[in-house]
Amino acid sequence: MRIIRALALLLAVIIAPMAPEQSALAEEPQPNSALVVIVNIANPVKQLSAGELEKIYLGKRGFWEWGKPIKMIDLIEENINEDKSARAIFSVEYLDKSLPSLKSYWIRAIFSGRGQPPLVFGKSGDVLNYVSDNVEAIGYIRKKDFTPGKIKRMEIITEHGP
Amino acid sequence: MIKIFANYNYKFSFTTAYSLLLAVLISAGSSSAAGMDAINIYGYFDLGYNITTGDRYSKSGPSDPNLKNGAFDQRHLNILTDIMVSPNIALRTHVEFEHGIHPSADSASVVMEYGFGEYAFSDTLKIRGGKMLSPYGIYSEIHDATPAYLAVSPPETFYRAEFKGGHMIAPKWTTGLAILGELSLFSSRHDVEYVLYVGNGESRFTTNESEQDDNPNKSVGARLQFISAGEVLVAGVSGFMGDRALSQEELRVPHIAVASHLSLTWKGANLTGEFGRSQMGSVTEITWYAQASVRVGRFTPYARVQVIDPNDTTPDDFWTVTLGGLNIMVTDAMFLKVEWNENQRGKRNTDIISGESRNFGEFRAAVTLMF
Repeated sequence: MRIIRALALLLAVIIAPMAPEQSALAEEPQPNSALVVIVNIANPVKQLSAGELEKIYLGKRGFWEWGKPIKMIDLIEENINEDKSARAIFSVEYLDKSLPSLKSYWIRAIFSGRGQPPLVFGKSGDVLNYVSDNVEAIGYIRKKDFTPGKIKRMEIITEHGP
Repeated sequence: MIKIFANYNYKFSFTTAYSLLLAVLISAGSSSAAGMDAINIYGYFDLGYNITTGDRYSKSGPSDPNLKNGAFDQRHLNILTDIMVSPNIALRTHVEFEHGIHPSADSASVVMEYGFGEYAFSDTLKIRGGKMLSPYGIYSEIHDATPAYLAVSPPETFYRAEFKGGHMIAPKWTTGLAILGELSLFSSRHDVEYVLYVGNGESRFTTNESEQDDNPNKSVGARLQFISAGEVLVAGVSGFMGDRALSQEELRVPHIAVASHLSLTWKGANLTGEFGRSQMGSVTEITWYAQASVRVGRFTPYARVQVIDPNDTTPDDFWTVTLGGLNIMVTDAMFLKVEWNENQRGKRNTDIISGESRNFGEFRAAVTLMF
């Protein structure tokens, strides 16, 4: 009887409140995203597939095809509600994960010796500066903050096209 | 001071050595081969409380007052360092101070959970050497890292079978070499992860068998797992093969273990299960568990059923635990966990102390901080 009750409890827990996070997640990166992915102007890579970008930001792809290790940057926007921050948008649109899921992912990765999460910056300007100074870096900022110079926009290829 | 040093002989030297190592690394700055931006320090701390119902005895007997009032446990204070020595070389260490380490606490310990170097030829081929948590199933490499799992403990019938009347399904640690990497399937968003390792085998003549210098036993192990895009589906198999020294007369008892794991995640809901079979000499142990959870904001209720049959030829030696609990992410760095465990044991389970109840309940709670 106890086993049956336990299984019933398992089923209830899995079926009951599944709704809360559904609407927040997108299946594919959005072509009309509020964000742009940026790299240093000297980075020879011109475009990435959505899958490649996802693997970079989950620490599964550590090296550029030209050999250097990748330095990925997160923009947390400390002055904005976390749920609406650039990192939350990027996580949902490009990594297919809610922000809590992404945090859980990195906790598991860190504490099992599998690697380190992206560097974190609080402002778009700091991301721009870091990417300008580091040819191995990749980051994202809000479209409105993009200013060409020592950085360039990385084209992300999705199922819907660039 | 000299007297204090003498009393704290082993613990002081270990702790001091580790502190000195950290100090050297931190103070090294840009003059070091690894600059400050290449050194990351992480850690976690937790305080637990548990109390049981029924006649659940400790090894010290039924009069142990802790059994009546429950017990607090400053379970972990763990420090991890992750050092990028160069773009291709990482050095990773994890040191644990467990159960409020103190000379009078016989169950307390300082343990180097892992300390290994890893050279990355590419994302698909890395080589790792040192002491590592054996890659096996889902939780073996997470081990005791309480921030990284929902419940107060990982599935104990599977990962702590030796405390449930059985034997360790596979060694927790290995010292040796591993090759590992990730392969993209069909250039898609799906991955296959592999790890293959060879290391020192098991021995019961030391508390640190994976690092015993004269341990003649060797072992091999492997894990292969498929990870779909977004980690919706994770499925894998693990294997271990080695010899275990059980006594002076039985120095090389064959130990072969296989396991499979499956994890399904859909939005905030997760269903995870593992099945393991471990053969030690003539004893075959079977264990499995299934766990379900749903994340609702910062709250994650979970339920789990876990079962072990320590010896498939001995009737009525099982141990079954069903539990339900709630994990609350109080802040990004603080978790509160509360759960109720129902334990049922067969009368021939070897962990039962004479006179105690076979079945009992247990309330567990823990606060975990990570940094």
